[in-house]
Amino acid sequence: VIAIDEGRRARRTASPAHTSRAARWLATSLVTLVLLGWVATIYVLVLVADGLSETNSHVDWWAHVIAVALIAVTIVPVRRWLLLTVDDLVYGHLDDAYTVITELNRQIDVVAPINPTTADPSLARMIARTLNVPYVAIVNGDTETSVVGVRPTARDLVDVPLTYQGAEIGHLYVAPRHAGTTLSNRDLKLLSDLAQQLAVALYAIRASEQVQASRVALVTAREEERRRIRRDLHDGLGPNLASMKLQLTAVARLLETDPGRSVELLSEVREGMDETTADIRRLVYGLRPPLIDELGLIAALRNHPSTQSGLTVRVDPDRLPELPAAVEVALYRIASEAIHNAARHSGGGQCRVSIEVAADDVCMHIADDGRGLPQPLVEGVGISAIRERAAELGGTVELTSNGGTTITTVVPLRSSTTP
Amino acid sequence: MSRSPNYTIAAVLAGLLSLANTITALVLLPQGSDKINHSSNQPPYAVILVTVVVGLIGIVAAYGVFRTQRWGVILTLVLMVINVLISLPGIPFGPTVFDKVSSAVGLVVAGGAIYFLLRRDAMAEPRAELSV
Repeated sequence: VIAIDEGRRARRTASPAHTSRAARWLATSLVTLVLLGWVATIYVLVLVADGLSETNSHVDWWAHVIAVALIAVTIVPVRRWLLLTVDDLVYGHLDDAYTVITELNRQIDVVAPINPTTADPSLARMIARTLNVPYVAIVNGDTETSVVGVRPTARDLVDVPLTYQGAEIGHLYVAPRHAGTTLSNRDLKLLSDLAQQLAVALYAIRASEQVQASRVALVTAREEERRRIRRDLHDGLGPNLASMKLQLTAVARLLETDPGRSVELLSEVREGMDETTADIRRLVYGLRPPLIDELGLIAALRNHPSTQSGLTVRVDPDRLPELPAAVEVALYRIASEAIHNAARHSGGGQCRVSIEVAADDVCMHIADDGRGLPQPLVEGVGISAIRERAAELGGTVELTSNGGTTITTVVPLRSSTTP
Repeated sequence: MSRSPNYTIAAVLAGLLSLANTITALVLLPQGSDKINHSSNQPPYAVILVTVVVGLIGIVAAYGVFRTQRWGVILTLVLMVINVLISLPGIPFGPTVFDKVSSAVGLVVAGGAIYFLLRRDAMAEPRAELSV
């Protein structure tokens, strides 16, 4: 049953290709025939107007000139009109847009899943065959995803934007069947329908890629975090504890023979323990700023270390509803970086942080009264870190410079429900 | 596909022309080839035969147009061009005024049928919002 079904499907798929040449021949023949009738009609009517009849075969030379001139003037627009209308007439499968779109979906799902890394021409070939056009290109973003045929001049190209929910996903480029003409209204209508399907498919594929990239980024970040903790434990805590162990062994050995030296060693051990405690605190702080847990986000920002460098930091509002932990940490680190930048580079004396919590997202404005952003702006490590932290949670960052610098960060709440 | 007014008009024009041509030719046909070929007021016998065939096919094709069949539209288009080419000589060289007028009418009707067959109904096919 499957084999028979595949066979039928193959025949259905192949039939447009088989009919393509015949249809083209038929269209050309019809255009030629009608043009022939047009030329003959003009010529005869002009000669009749000059008096040509059964009894009068004399025709003035200027009648021929007028006839030829009329034909020369009208032949091009008439031919162009004929090409469009006859094409519509001949390529009959265009009427059944449902069939074409169904075939398109099948191509997307089964035959040619659009993969930006491999330029698969199957989809473009299907559209080219359906519309009987010499060139089709599907551009996903800036990447030519599927191309068939030789690209004509830009003037002849029909550009169909692929948009989904108002966002431009890519473009569908199609060359008309005949140079110097364009596609008919019916073709354009069908292309418009095809474009909607393509846009949805491209959007889904792009979203899938973004999810995959996000997963990779998460795994990478987690591994980087583990590596950093391992390094801190191995290079910091490990040697310190080993050193203290040796010192304590020495203390035990010297306790009876050289009590004074023992006391000195114990003092060194105590200093070592202080350093180790500081290392552990730093390590823990790196995982999650303790100020957030101890004081809350607002108070933690108000007590930011940069306030001790002369910068006045105002934070609004006084209280926030409970936020996901990931959002709190991201906002704290973004604000920390922004306040740090304001203190170091802005030259201003005040920085205001305002946080607005909506149902779906959190918006944080950080504005200073400094000299603003340099022009042209070359974003450094700090700004990149801010963008990355926002992007990790699906948020956005916008920088504006208007008598100071304002950094606006919007972080969605629905995708950040980590407790 | 649903029938547009253009196809209806084209079908009526092509049908009437084909019917008229067929009847006219069928009336002449019984006179026989010898008599017709030797008469100065009649078109050649071969032309009459062609007219009968074209006329009969034209009636069928016009019905195809009326039923909005693609084959009917294409066939009618071809036949109407042939009608134009057949009618053209009759305008200057028709032996009688009636022949000249009937040829001219045939030319106009066939030309009109071609025009309405190829004319696109702008209301039925709204232009898609595409940039070119």
